[in-house]
Amino acid sequence: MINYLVNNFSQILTKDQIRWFAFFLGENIHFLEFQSSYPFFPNPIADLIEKDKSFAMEIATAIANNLSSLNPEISEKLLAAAEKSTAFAIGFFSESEDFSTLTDENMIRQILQFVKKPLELGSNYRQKIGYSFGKIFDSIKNNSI
Amino acid sequence: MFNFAEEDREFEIGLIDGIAVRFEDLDKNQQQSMIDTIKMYKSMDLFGRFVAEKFRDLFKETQERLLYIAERNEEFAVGLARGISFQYYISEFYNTPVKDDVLRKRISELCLEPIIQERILKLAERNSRVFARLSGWITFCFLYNQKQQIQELILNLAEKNKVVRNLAAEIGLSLNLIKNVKVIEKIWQLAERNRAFAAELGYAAGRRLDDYKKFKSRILKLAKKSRDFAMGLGFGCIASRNAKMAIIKNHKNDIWTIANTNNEFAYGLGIGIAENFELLSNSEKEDLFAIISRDNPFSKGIFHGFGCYFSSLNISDANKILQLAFENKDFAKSLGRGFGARFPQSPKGADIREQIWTIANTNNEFAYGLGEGLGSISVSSLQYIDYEDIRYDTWSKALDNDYVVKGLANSLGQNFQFLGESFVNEIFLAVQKSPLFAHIFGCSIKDVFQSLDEDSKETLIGLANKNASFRKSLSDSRIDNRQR
Repeated sequence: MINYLVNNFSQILTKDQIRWFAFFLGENIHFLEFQSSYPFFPNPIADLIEKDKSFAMEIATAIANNLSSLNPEISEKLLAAAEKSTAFAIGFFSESEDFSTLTDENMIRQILQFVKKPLELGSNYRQKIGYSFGKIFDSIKNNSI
Repeated sequence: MFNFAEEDREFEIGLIDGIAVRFEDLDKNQQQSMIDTIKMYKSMDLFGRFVAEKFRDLFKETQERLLYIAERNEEFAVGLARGISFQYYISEFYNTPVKDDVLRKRISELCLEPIIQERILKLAERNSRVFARLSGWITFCFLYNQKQQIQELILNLAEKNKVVRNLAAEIGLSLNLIKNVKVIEKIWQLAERNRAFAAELGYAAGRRLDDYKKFKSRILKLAKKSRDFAMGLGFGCIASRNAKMAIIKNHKNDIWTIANTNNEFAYGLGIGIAENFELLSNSEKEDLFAIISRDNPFSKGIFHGFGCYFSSLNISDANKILQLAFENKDFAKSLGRGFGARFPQSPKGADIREQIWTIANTNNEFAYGLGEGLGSISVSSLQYIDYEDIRYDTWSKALDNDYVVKGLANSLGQNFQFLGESFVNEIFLAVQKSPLFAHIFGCSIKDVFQSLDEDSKETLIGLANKNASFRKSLSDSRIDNRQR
C-alpha cells in the first residue's frame, strides 16, 4: 500500500493530507521498497522534498525519530539526502524530539561529521543537534564516541 | 563527542543542555557517574550552570558532589552559581498576590539545607564572580532566611563586591519584610560605603516611599549623606506614582519638600519626570517647560532624563529640548550625561549614535557630559556595551574629542572600584593612547585612591610604572610611600 501511495499521492491526497502523509511515510520508511536506481527516495518523493520545505522537514523529523528501525545502509543514504536538502537536514537533525533510538556508533560518527560541514542551516541548528545528543549521552558515554 | 563540542560552541551548549535535562531523571549513582565523566572535559562551567538550574531538586549527595567540584574549579563554581540563582529570582513574590501560608510553603520549598547553604556562601566569599552570579539566591537567603548571621555575612560580602544591584533593589523593595532592626541599620551603613548599592537601594526605596513611613527619617538622613542614594530615591519615588503632574504642580507636597533641600534628590526626581514626559498632555508639557527654564538641580535632572530617554520623545519636543540645552551650558552637560549613561547599545542605534557624536563635536559642554555619562556606573554606560565593535568604536570616537575625554576619564576614575576587570584593561589601553586621558584619569584616581582595595591599588601602581602622564598625575606621597 505504501508504495502505491508513493506513486499516486498527488492524485489522491489534498494539500493538507500531504502533510500527514509526510509524517506517515517517515514513520514507516522501512516498509518502502528501495530500488538501486533511486538516489534514495522514490522520484515523486524526492521531487516533493526538493519543492516543499515543510514536507521535507516533516518527513525527515519522522524518520529521525525512528532511526533504530533502519538498517545502516539506509542511514547512510539519509545523510546523502540531508546534504542535498537543507529543509530535510534541519528536520532530520534538529527538529526531532531526540535521538533516543540512536545507538549505532557508526551512525553517530556520521552525524557528527555531517555537523562539521559548513552548511547554511540557520541559527541554533548545531545547538539543537547537540541537545539531542546530550539527552542520550548517558547511554552512549561508555562507547568510544 | 566532547572533542567536537570543544571546537563548536553552539553544539557544546546544546550538548550540555541536553545532558542536564536528562541528568535530573538519573538515579544518584548515575548522576555521580555522569559528573565524573563530564569532569574530564572543559565544558564544566556550562554543565554547572545547566545542571544547577534545578539544584534544589537534586539529591543531597549530588548537590554535595557538585559543590565539592566547585570548591576546586573556579569556572565550574561560576557556572554553578549562575544555575543555582536561576530558581531564585523572587519577583514572583512581588508580582503574584499570595496568601501568607502559600508564601511560607513556597519559601520552605526553596530553602536549601543549612550545610549546603553554608558551603555556597563560602564559595561566594572566596570569589567575587561567584557572588555576582549568585545574586538571585543570595537575595532570597537575605530576605527569606532572616537569620541575622547570614544576613550580616551577605551584607559584608556586598560591601566588597561590585555586582550588588539585584540585592540592593530587592532589599529596597522589601524593607518591611526585614524584622531585625540591627540588620536594617547595617543596610543603611552599607549604602554609605557602596555607591552602586546605594543608587539601587535608593531607587527601590523611592518606589516604596509611601509604605516606608517608619523608615522615613533614616531614609532622609541617608539621602543627605549619599548622593547616589538621594538621586536614586528621587528617581524611584516618581516611578511609583501615576499622577506625576500632581507632584509637579503641587509644590507643597512632601516630595517637593525633600527636593527643595536635597539637590541630588531633585536631580533624580527630574530624571524620573523626563522618563514619562511623553505621557503628559501638551498643556502639562508647557507647564513643565516653564518650570525647567530655571537653572536648578531639578531642571538639570530633567535634561539628564531627556538624554536617557531621547528616543521616546516626539520630533517637536526633541527639537525644543535640544534648543533649550544649547542655550544653557548646564543643561547641555546634563543632556550629554543622560545620553552617555544610557548610550544606544545595539547595532540598530547607529543613526542615533552618529547624531550624538555630531552634537558632541559642536558643543563642548554636551561632549563633557557625554563622557561623564559613558563613564558612569549606569547599566547602559560604556562598560556595559556588549557589542565589541560598537564599544571599540565608542572608545575611538570618545578619545578623538578632548571634552569627551575629560568627562570620561574623570568619571571612570571616580567609579574605578565599580568597573569590571576586562573593562579596566580597556581603560589602560586608553591611558596608553591618550596623554590627556591619562592625565585626567590620574587626577581623578588620586581622589579615590585611598578608598580602593589593595588589588586595585597594585594594578594602578603597575600602570603608573608604565605610563609617564598617568604617573605624573598620580604621583604624590601615597604612591611614593607604597613603592618604597
